[in-house]
Amino acid sequence: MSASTQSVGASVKPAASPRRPGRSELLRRLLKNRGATVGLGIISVYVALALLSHVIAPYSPTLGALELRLKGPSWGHWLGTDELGRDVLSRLLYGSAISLEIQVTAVVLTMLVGVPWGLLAGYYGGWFDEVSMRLIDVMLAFPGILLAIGVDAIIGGGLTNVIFAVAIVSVPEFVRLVRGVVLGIRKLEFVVAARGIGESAPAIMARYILPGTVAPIVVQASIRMATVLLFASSLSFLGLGVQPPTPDWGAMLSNARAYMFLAPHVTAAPGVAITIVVIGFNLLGDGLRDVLDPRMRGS
Amino acid sequence: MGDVLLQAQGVTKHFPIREHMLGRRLLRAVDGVDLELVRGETLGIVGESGCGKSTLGFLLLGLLPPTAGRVTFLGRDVHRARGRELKYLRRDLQVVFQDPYASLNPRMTVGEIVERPLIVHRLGSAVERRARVAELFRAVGLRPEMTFRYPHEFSGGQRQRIALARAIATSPQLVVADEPTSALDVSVQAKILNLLKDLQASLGLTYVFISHDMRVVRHMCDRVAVMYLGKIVETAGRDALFEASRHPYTRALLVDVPGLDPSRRRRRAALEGDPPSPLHPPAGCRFHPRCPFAQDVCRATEPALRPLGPAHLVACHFAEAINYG
Amino acid sequence: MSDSVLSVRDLKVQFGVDDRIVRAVDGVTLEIGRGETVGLVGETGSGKSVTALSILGLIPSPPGRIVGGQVLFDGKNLLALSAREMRRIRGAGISMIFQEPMTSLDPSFPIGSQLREPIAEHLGLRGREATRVALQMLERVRMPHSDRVLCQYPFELSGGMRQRVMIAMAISCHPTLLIADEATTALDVSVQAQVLSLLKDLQDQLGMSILLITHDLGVVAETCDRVYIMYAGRIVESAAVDALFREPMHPYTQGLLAAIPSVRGDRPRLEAIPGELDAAPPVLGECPFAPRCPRVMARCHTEAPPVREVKPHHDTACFLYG
Repeated sequence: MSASTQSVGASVKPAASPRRPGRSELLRRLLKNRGATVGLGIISVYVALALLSHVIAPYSPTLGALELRLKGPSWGHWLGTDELGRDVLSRLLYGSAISLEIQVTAVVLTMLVGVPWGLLAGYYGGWFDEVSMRLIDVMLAFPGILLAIGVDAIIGGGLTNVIFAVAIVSVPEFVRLVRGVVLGIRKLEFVVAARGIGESAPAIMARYILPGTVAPIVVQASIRMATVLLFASSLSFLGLGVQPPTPDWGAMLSNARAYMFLAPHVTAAPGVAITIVVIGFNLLGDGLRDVLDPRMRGS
Repeated sequence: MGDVLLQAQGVTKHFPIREHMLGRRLLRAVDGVDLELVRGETLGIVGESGCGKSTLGFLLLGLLPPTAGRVTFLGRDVHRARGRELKYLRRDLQVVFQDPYASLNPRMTVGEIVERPLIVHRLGSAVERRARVAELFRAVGLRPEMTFRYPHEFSGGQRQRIALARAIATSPQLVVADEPTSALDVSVQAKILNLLKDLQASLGLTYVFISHDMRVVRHMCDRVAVMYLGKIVETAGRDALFEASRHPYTRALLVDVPGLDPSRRRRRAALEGDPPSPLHPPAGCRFHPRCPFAQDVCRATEPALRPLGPAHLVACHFAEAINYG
Repeated sequence: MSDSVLSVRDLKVQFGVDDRIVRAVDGVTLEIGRGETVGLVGETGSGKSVTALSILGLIPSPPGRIVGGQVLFDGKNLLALSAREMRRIRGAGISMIFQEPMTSLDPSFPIGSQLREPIAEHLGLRGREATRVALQMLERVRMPHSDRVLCQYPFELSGGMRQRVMIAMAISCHPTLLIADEATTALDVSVQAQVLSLLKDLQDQLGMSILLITHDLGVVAETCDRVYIMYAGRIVESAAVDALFREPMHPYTQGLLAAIPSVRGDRPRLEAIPGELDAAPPVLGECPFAPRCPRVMARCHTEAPPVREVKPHHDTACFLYG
C-alpha cells in the first residue's frame, strides 16, 4: 500500500459534524426546550393519573348519591358533584383512563395502517401511489370532525367504534407524511447504493428508509394524540361515543350542559382537562419537532 | 487485449416531463449510446452538466431501465436479469458515488455498511465476514477498530474510502465510479485517486470513471468517451484524445480547463453560450449552435459516430477536415 | 505596488461551538492593490471564506466573533463601523459574489426587481431610470436576451446566467473591490472560463480590484496577479503568481501543487499530503502544518513560524527559510 494510506490511519479524528444524538442526549435537548418540558410534564401527569385512576379515585365514578347533586367543590368532593351526585373528580380520573385508552389505541391503529401504506406508496409509486393519493385527497377534503361523525354514525357508537372512527380519520395524514418522507429518502444515494449491492426491496425499506421516517412519525403521532382526544370528546359530546354511565370527558361535558349556569364546575372540569391535555400534546409535539427534525435531516 | 466485459448498444433513456397540465416533453438524457469496455481498463466518461453521463452510469449498472437499446455484461442483459442471475450481476457490478455524505446509510455503523453486501450475497459465516470487513478496511487505508463508528464521525475522504470498501467487498469485476472525488479537497482527492489505482492493480478491477474534470480523467483513464447532450461525440485512447482530439467540443473543453502555468494564460473562453438543455436538443448536430465551424449540413443532419483511426471514433461531419492549428 | 485598496491586518475570527472555540482565522494579513486580482487559496477548513465574510461584516455572530485585527478600506477600519455605515459600503465600495447563485438570488422575485435594489439603495435611482441602468448592467455582463431576462425568475435561468446576474448586481454600483467566493466552483468548465474572462474584462473597464477565493490553483494561474495560500486559519505563503508556481516555498503549497492531476498528463503518480486537516484546533505555539509536514523539524513543534519575506515580494511562514 502507498504511504498515504498508512498515515491516514494514524491521524484519524472525528469529523466536525455533530454526533448523532443518543437517547439521553435527546432527552437533555428536549428538556432545554421550555414548551416541550411543559408538554412533557402535563402528559406525564396525565398518564400517571390515568394509569392510577382506579387506585386513587376517592369515589366510584358511576354510583351517585342523589342528595348530593350539583354540590360545588368541597373538602369531601374536590371538584364537586355532577347532576347525579357522582364525584366529578373520580369521574374525571376514570375518564382520563378512557381518553388515554382511546388515544393510544387509535394512534397505534392509525400507524399500523398508515405507515406501511405510506411506505409502499412512496417506494413503489406507480398506479398504487396515484390511486392512494386520490383516495387520501378525497378523505382530506372533508373536515376531520365531520368525517369522524360520519364514520361513527355509520358504524354505530360505543367506545370501540369511536376508536375505529377516529383512527380511520387519522390515517390519511400519516400516509401523506410517510410517503413524503419516503420520497425524499428514496432519492438519496445510500438507498441507490443499497440497490447497487443487491439488497431486496423489503430490506431496503426496513433498513434504509424506515429509520429515517421515525422522527417525523413520532412528532406527528404526538400531535395527533391531541386531535384524537378532541374528536373522541366531540363524538361523545354528541352522544355518538361512549355510552353512559361510562365516564368520558366529552360525555361529561354534554351532560353538564343543561346545568351550565347552575353548576359551572361540572362543565369546567372536563373542559379544562381536555384543553390542558390537548395543549400538552401539542407542546410536546412541537418540542419534539424542534429537537428531532433538524438533527435528523442533517444525518 | 482482454475480453469485452461490458457492452452498450443503442442505449437510450428518455424521461417524460410534465411541463404543464397538457404538455409532456421528453428529456432525452441519453440518446443511442454505444460503448464497449474491455477487462482491466479504465474508461472515462466526460462531459458537462446535462450531458447524461450520470444517467449513463445508472443504465450501465442496470439500476435504471433503458427506453431503448441494451446493456450486456459478459453476455448477460443487465436489465432482463432476474433472481439468481440478478444476484450475480449485483455482485460483479458495483458503484461508488459522488457525495460521500449521502452515499452511506447514516443509521448503520460503517462496519455494518461494508458487511451488508457480504450478507446479501451470503459470502461466508458471521466470523468470516467480520474478518473480511477488517481486511477491506485495511485495504482502503482505514483502521479496523473504526468499524463501530457511524458515518458522520468520518471526514469526506474517509467516507469515500468506506464507500470503496463496500464496493470491493464482493470482489466485483467492474466498478462504476460516478464523480468519486468531485466533492473532495485536492489533497484528499489525490489520495483517493491513488487508492483507486492501487486497488485496480491488486484486485484486477475494471473501471468506468465518470467525471466532469478533464484533469482527473487524464490521470486515471486509459480510454475516454466525451458526451454532449446525451450522445457520445468522441471516443479515443487517452493520449489521442488529449493531444490529438478531432471534435470541436472536446478541443474547446480542453482549452477551457485551467492549466497550472501562469505564462500560458488565455483570456478568451473557447466555448460561448450555455450547455443547452436536454429538453430541447438542437436539430442536426447537437453541438452546432456553439460550434465555431458549423456549416449547413451540421444544422440539418446529425453526424454518426464513425472511426477516424485505430480506436478513435468521432461524431463530426468535418472531423478530418478541420485544421485545429 | 500600486496604492492599496484593502488592507487586512492580523485578522482573528473565532467560532464558539458548544464550549469549543475554533480559531477559524488566526492572524491573517493581506493587501489588495488597485486594479489587482488577488487569489486566496485554501482547502476546506482553511478559513478563506470566513476571512472574506469578515471583510464585509457578514459573519453570523453568534456563533462567530471577530476578536482582533483591522480591515482598512478607504482609510476606515471596517470592523469599527456602525451597521448603517457598513451597509453603505456593501454593494457600493465592496461587493461580493458567491458560489451558489440559486441561493443568493431570491427565488420569489424576477431578476429585474432584484437588480433594481442595489441601484435604488446606492445610486438613488428608481423607476425607468433604474430599469435602464439594470439593462445596461445585463448588457455589460454579456447576458443574452437581456430585456427578457429582466422579467424572468431565477429558476428559469441556467447556472451560468444566474452567476452573470449576480455579477451584474455586484458591479451595478461600480465597487472598488469585488470579492468572488468560490464563484465558479459550481460551474461547468466552459461556463467557468466565460465567467472568469468576463470578470477580467469588467476589471479592465471599471478599474476594480478582485479578491478571488478558490481552492483551484488552476483558476489562480489563469486569472490572478498575486496569491495567498491559507492553511488552518493562517497565511502560509504569498507571492506573485509566476513566482509561486515556479518556486513554491512552503511545504503545504508544494504538496498542493503536487497533488493536482495535470491535463497535460505529465504526472504519473499524484503526491498526496499525508494525514488530513483535523477538526481539532491546531496547538498554539506550533506550526499548524507540523503534524503533516514532510520536512518538519524539531523547532516546528515548539514555535509558530511568522510570515516573513524570504525573497522579494515572496513571503512564507516556515522555519526552513530561517
